[in-house]
Order: sequence, then C-alpha cells, then structure tokens
Amino acid sequence: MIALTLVAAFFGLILIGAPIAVALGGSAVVTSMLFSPIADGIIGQKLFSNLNHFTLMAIPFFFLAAGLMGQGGLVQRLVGLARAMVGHLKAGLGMTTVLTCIFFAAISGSSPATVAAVGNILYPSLLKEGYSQKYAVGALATSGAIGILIPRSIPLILYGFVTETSIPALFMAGIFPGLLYGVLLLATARILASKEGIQTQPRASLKHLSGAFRSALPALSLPVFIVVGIYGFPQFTLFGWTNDGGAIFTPTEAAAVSAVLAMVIGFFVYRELTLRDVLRITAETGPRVGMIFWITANALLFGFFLTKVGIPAAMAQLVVDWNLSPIVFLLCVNILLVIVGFFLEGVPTILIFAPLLVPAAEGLGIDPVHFAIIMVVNIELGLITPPVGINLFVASSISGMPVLQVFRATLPWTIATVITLLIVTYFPPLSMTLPDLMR
Amino acid sequence: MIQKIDRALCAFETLMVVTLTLAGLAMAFVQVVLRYLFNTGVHWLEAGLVTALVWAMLFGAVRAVREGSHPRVELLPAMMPPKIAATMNCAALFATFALVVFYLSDAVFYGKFLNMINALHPELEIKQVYPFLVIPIITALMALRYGLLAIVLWRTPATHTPEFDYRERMTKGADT
Repeated sequence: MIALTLVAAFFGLILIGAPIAVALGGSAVVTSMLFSPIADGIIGQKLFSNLNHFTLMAIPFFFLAAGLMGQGGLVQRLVGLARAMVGHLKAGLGMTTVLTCIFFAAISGSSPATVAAVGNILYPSLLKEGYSQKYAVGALATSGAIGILIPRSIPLILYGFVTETSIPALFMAGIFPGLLYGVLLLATARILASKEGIQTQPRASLKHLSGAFRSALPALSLPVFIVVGIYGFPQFTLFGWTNDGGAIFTPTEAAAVSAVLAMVIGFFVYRELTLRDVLRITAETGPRVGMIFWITANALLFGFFLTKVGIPAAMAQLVVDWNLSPIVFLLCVNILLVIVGFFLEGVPTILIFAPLLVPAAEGLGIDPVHFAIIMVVNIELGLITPPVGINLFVASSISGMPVLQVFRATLPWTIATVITLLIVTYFPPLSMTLPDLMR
Repeated sequence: MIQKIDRALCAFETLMVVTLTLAGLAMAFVQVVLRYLFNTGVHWLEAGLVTALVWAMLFGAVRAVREGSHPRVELLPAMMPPKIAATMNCAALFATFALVVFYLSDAVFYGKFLNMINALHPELEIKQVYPFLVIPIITALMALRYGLLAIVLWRTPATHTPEFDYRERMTKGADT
C-alpha cells in the first residue's frame, strides 16, 4: 500500500507537469505523512545534509571549467586538430565532427554542452562542404551523446555519489565503451557520407598537422592532467628516488584545478577570455548546477524514504525470488531504461533508478561499476529520443529543423548507440578491464 | 511592481552565485596547493568550500525557477486542450508552492532547534545553524518566486508551462 501510494503520488505529479524534483520530494513527503511519519525538522535537515558532501562539489567545478574552456577559444582549436587528422579521409568533415565531440566530451562532461559547442562551429561548415542537413544534425546530436560516457562524466559522478561507488573506477570504466562508441560513430559517418557523394579534401601537410596539434595542446592537456591527477602515476624508481604511485588528488580537487587551469589557458595562452566572461559564465553555472542539486536533494529524500520502508531491499529480494538470470535481468533493465529515457532526462534517471536497481543487480552478482556504464549508455539513447531527448532540442535550435525531423535524421546513427549498448551490457570486460587493473 | 521585485531578486541571486562560487573555487585551489606543494593544510578549507558551493548552487536553484530550467515532463499538458493544460499547470504550481512552503516550515523548525542546542560546526567552528540557514532562505525565495509566478499567471492565464509564461511576461513587461 505504501509503495502503491508513493508510485501513484510520484506519477500523478509527473503527469500534471510538476518539476521532477517536486514529484520526488512531494511523493515522499505525502506518503510519509500518511503512513510513516517522520519527526519534525528531519526533512529540513536532510535537504541540507544530502548536499553537504565534498564529492558532489566536483559538478559545479566541472561545469565552470567547461564553460570557461568553451568561451576561451578551445573548440576552434579542437576542430582544427580533428580536421588536420581526418579531414582528408572520405567523409572527413563528418568524422571531424565525431572526433571533436570525443575531444570536447573529455573536457565538458555534458552531452548537450558538447552538441551546442561543437554544433555552432561545425554545422555551417558541414552544409558548406555539401553534407545534407539531415547528415549534419544526425552526426551532431548522436556524437554529442558521447559526452556523458567518456570521463569526466556528470551522470557517473552522481551515480558514484548515490550508490557509494568509486568515482575514479567509474571514470575508468567509461573509457573503452566511449572509444568503442566513437569508432562505431566514425564508421557510421563514413558509410552515410558515401551515400551523399561528398568530395574528399586534400591531406594536411605534416607542418599543418603539427601546428594544429601545438595549438590544441593546452586544451588537450586538460583532460590528460585530470586523468593523471585522479589516477596518479604507477609506482616507479628513478635514480634511487621512489614514487609510491596512487592518486594525486580527488575528483573534486581535479575539477577545481581544471577550472583554474581553464582560466589560465583562456586568459594567458589563447587570450580569448576576459574577466567579464568569467563572471558571466560563473553566473550561468548557478542555475544549471542548482537544478541538479535541487533534484539531488529531493531524490535523496525520496531514496531515504524508500530505504526507510524497505523498498530497494524488497525489490532485490523479488529479483532473487523470480530466479532471473543476469542476462534476462539486464535485458529487462535495458527495456525499462529505454522506456524511461523517452520521458526522463539523465540526471533524474540516475538519481531515481540507481538506488532502486543497484541492490538487485548486486544480488545477481553484477558489478555496480559495470551497471553504471549500462545505465549511462541507456541515457545516451534517451538523449536522442523524443519527447525529452535534450540533444534533439539543441540540434534543432542550431539547425532550425523541427525536433521530429532531427529525430528522423538521428535514426541511422542510433544503430551505433544500440550496438554499443548491447556490447556494453553483455561483454563486461569492455567496462571492467581498466577498473579491475586499478583494484 | 512584480518586475521590480524580479529584478531585485535576480541581482541578489547573481551576486550570491558569483561571489560564493568563486570563493569556493579559490578555497579548493588553495587547499590543493597547500596539500600537494607544501604538505600542509588549513582545517576549515574543505568545509568552507563545500558550504560556499552548496549556498551558491542553491541560490542558482532559485534562479532556475525564473529561467524555467527545473526539468519536468510536459508531454501530457502539451497534448491537452488549452483549458485543461492551464488547469494542470495550476495544479502543478500549487503542488510545487505547497511543497516549498512545507520545506520552509520544516527547515525553520530545525534551524530553531539547532540554534537552541547551540551546536558548533566541527571544522568551521561557528554555530551549526549558520551554514544550515541556506535552506530556510532559499525555500523562502523559491516560495516568493512561485508566488510571483502565480500572480502573473492569474493575470494572464497560461497555455504553456508556468515558467515559460513567467519568463515571457518578465521580458515583455506584460504585468505593468
């Protein structure tokens, strides 16, 4: 009865169009008032204590760093480098789009930000070189989705936070699936371009390539710096001096340092950032991350109530009682998350479903790190499916095409996402090899 | 009048978000430099940066009310005839306002309790109620924002989502 009331209140609020944070918090408050009263003051205290965690502070710093890098002339350099690398191949600019998205994903951690930043620069160029509108928006909307799989990824930070899973391990787990997705998208770009009869561009000279690389080096150094900072160097001895190995700083500290480095690069290396830009970008970070924090506070309140009445444990027991094999369970999870992806964005999906599904997955022997990557690839699919696929809206606003047409344009590219999802789901070593090496 | 309140709120929210975010960033950077370059540290820096950022981002959450960026599923209201959609928007707005007011009253209760027991923050060494004050403040501001939104919608009934209308009215000055 408690679960039924909770679900009815949650979906009732969602259906009338209340904000997702309100549906989460409101359903927990109403159900607790009716069936399992919580002492006065506990909810107020929980709202604060749910957010008062050092780990969570990586999110505003990463958003700030992405905003500063986007403004500071980074994207143009990345486009220049990607073009010098693959521009001469068949479908060169289409592949440049995919490659730039991979580079930028490592810096931004956000899919819509990747589509917007790369799309504003490459969309006009794609049309100018003879690619169809359909090809251009399809490439942008789908390649942008890679932003949440390659480290650093905001959904993976949230997953680690709510399920108490190691965030460095989650970041590591995303690398190979992200690269696989990138390779599949590059292949799709080439296959689709061959149908469009695109002319190839001349190969970039070695001088041009090294110039593009030098220009993009400060931007590319940022994700390398973050990865090295979070994972550290392996243990080694040099001239009698021994490095013990291990992490240099936490993901939150890495995020803060990357924001400061982004400012330094923007101010002093590329010289395209001003103090006014910094203030504007900082002000813009507030509502974007504030929205995530408000959902997180309410989702954890929802999770607190779920745990109080024992729903996650009951779900885990149910899965065990049904004797589901891991393969069937993961198939069911994928179907559930694909359906959820039609209606919910990535952040609420992680915050609502990770605490519910992870205990059941662990009960079947599925590693929570592997499960995280499955959830994130499902979210990527949700980003390019209507009615709430945010990448479709961003690509639509860049191209001026209606959202439904953008969705149709992404369909051939979606095959790459579905193949990635199937491989990630049923071939755990793809996600688990790097985290296992860390352990 | 509504536009004046809106402008004052915007200025205050921006000031808080920018100042506290940059303060948090500075504290985080100083902590990294002290720890990894000088092998030392200041005991309150970590708690300080967390508090500054929680405050900054929750003021950002208030601002997100104005910008309509709190995500919602608009599928059903969008499929309904205008009158039913407006009724659903009103119900959603009422539920949101009621929840925020409930949070406010609960946070005030807990704040009074913290103040009464005079608990000290272990790292910041200030009364524990001070960092917590952000919850009553931002829920009060959210209630004010949703209240303003309700007034605006009452004057010009909605066909879109509440925040969309609110933002439009503020921009076009339809309430004056």
